[in-house]
Amino acid sequence: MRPRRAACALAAALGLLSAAACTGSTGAGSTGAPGNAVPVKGGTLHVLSTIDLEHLDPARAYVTSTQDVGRLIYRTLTTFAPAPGQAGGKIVPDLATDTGRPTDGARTWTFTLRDGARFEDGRTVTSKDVKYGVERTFAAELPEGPPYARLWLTGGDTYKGPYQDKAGLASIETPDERTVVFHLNRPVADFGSAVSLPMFAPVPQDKDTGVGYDNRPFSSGPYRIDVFEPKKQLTLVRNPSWDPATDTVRKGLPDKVVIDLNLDPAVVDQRLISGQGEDANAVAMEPIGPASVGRALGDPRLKQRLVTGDSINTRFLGINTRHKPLDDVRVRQAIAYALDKDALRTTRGGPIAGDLATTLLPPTLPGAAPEDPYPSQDGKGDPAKAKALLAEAGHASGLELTLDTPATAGGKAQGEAVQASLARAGIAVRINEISSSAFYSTIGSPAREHDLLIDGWTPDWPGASTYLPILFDGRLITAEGNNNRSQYDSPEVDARLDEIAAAGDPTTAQAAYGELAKRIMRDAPVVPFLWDRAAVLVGPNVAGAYGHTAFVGRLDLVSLGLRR
Amino acid sequence: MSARAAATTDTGSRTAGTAQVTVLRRLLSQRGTALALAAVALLVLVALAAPLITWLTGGSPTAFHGEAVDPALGGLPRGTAGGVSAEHWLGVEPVNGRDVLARVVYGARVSLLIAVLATAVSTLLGTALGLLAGFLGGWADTLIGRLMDLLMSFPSLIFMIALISAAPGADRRLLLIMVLGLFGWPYIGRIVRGQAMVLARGEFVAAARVLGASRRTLLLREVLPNLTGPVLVVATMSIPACIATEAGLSFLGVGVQPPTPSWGQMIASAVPWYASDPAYFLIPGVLLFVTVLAFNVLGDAVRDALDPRSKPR
Repeated sequence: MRPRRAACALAAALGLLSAAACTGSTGAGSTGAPGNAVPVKGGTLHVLSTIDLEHLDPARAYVTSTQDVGRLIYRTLTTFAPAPGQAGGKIVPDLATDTGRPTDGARTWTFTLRDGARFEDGRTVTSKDVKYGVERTFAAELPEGPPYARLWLTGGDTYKGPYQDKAGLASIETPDERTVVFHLNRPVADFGSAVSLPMFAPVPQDKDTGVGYDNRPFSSGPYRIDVFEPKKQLTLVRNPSWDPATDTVRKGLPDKVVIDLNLDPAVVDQRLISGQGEDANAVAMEPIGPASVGRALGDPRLKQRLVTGDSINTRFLGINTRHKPLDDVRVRQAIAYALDKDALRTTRGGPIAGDLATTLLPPTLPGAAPEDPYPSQDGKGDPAKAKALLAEAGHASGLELTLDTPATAGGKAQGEAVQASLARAGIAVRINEISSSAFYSTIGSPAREHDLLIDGWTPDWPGASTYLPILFDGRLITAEGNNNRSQYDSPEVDARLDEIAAAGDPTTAQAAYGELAKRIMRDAPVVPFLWDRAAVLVGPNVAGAYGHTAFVGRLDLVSLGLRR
Repeated sequence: MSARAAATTDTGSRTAGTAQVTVLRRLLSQRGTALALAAVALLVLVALAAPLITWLTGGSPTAFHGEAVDPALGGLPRGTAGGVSAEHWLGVEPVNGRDVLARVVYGARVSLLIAVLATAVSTLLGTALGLLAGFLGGWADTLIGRLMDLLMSFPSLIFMIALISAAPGADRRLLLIMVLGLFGWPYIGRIVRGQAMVLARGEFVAAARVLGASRRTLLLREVLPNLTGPVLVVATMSIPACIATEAGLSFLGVGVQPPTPSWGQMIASAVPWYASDPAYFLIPGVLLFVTVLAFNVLGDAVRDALDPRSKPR
């Protein structure tokens, strides 16, 4: 179920409208207006989304847009700092008083809960609620969440969740109402970051409705759910029990937040560009579409309302290394040389959508080592070099490959860009469009994925520890829900991943991951083409807007408010 | 006996010959119809000469021209009216810079090919089955009639989308022709059946039957030739309907596969650009409009010309 995290970035991006973001200069200019004005308390904030909220249940939320919305509704032990740029990647205490106290060589983590944190019915959030919230994520009925509890908690591999196993998970201890202790089966240096995931949000046992909890999670944050119509609208109203004094992250300014779902991308852009009536108090959930970029940048008043944010997301063309002739590294390198990254970026909105990627780890990620192993003029590809490599591999007469893309306008545009750029090197690409709702389940099945695929990844928190080990460990190739979609299997890389994980110290681990990324790039199991930035339109009466790195550069909803 | 039958047909075809000349003269005598005919002829010519046209202009329908668009503005074409220039006479597509002229002329090929062949399929099926139902009556009529009712009452667009999505590997053009043809034939079949029922009771058919003509001879030599008028009219009207449906299916993403150009796909991808690059939206839109209008005017005129009762006012 790990693909979800990428799905977040991707469903939005590949899918419905091209993700876009701003160049540094535009970014500096545009954060000015919406960021500087002081938001006031009160009013109704509108959020216009082109996609559905996949899962509101904290146990199942593994899509960034849902996590962004979830932060308004529930609190987690730690969370991301509410700040623009790389400062937003910092983990800060939320329900807990600190970011966790490791003992026993980072095998035991202790958190103390803050005083005065309350659920929407006024009762205090206790350590039992946190324990129960984590235990639910083991239930087979709620499968979509991150895998870390199952992977890391002692006994997590056999525990079946609270519905089947009433005794609970012994490795989560609650010595008193305010203390929760996690016992891990291995040293995890960044467990304090992992508990920022929604799966570590408190859930009161008597309010748990199982699968139905998805429609009505119980609030511990500034807002509670008033009405939720899936695929249409989510209305949030104030949680009267939430005390701003206990929360350093959420501002909780608007009285009401209305999130419209599944809107047409062109309609969202148009409504925010005109910014009339209610739409003056609205923001877009997804980045501006390529078709509106020209209008937004051409008008200085609109440009001010375009808020940009960096992300830690990398988009790449995946190559199935088990399919012939892609098992030959020279063929994969030829594809890496042939790909026109600039054309791919243009399908997503041009330079505003981010920087051309030259390697796996984006520069916004700690430990990233800059390199460009497959260089070309302006990232437009080097067909001559690609042809030479193909000839060397014995494919001078050309190749035929099949590319999996989501069946959306953006997916098709990217597929055509891949098709046109590889054709220059004599590689004929057939586009296989897959319904966007089935896209990740299809490419996550080695039996059903084809030769090439449009893919990408956002680590769960800044650092490569939830990136390289998940995507490139050959032992993690599974029959369904596979994340190693290149089916890359290198014993040398596997051994190195184990060494880095065992080392413990986060800083040396980050540097080691940077070096390992270079090693993986030599084998070209994927061809990175874009490091995303997001440019999001906000209404003229909205203040406090900035793009957050943890949400693929999209707006941090907890800081938004109205000017008047 | 057969000599007698043959003689009838001879006179029949002779009168048909003179009728054709009159029909053509009637068609051309009206300015609107003449224009429509010219538009259709031009369209067919353009579609046939697509490779020649792109050879002349130097564009290819699938080649990207990154230099013709401005990535900093989200891939908006450089220059006026969607990037009109000496190389790109009708401008380029936003984002990828493909030549619009090359894409519309190749798109015309796809649209016309699918529409004409789908119409051929539905006309053949409709005439054959309608003729059988109308002429034979009884259980054949019941069976074919219910089949027509079933197909006509079906939400065909939804079924087409489902059918096309269910066969991901198949050649989309062939699939579209078959699907459009299979859902289109009852409309022709109904008309043919009604006409065939009237004709089967006609005196000349009775005469031929009395003279001992076989059922097959009656069907093919007596009834069928008298059906050409209505069939021709319905077929002409069905071509624009097929073009529009094909464009609609392409618009919904179940048409021909990329990078094959088609007007429907161009319109679909132009929708978000309506404000920033209106030319991209207008060109395939206007072409589709003119084509469908021309075929409709022509179909109307053919009906007027063939049916003396609805003589032009």
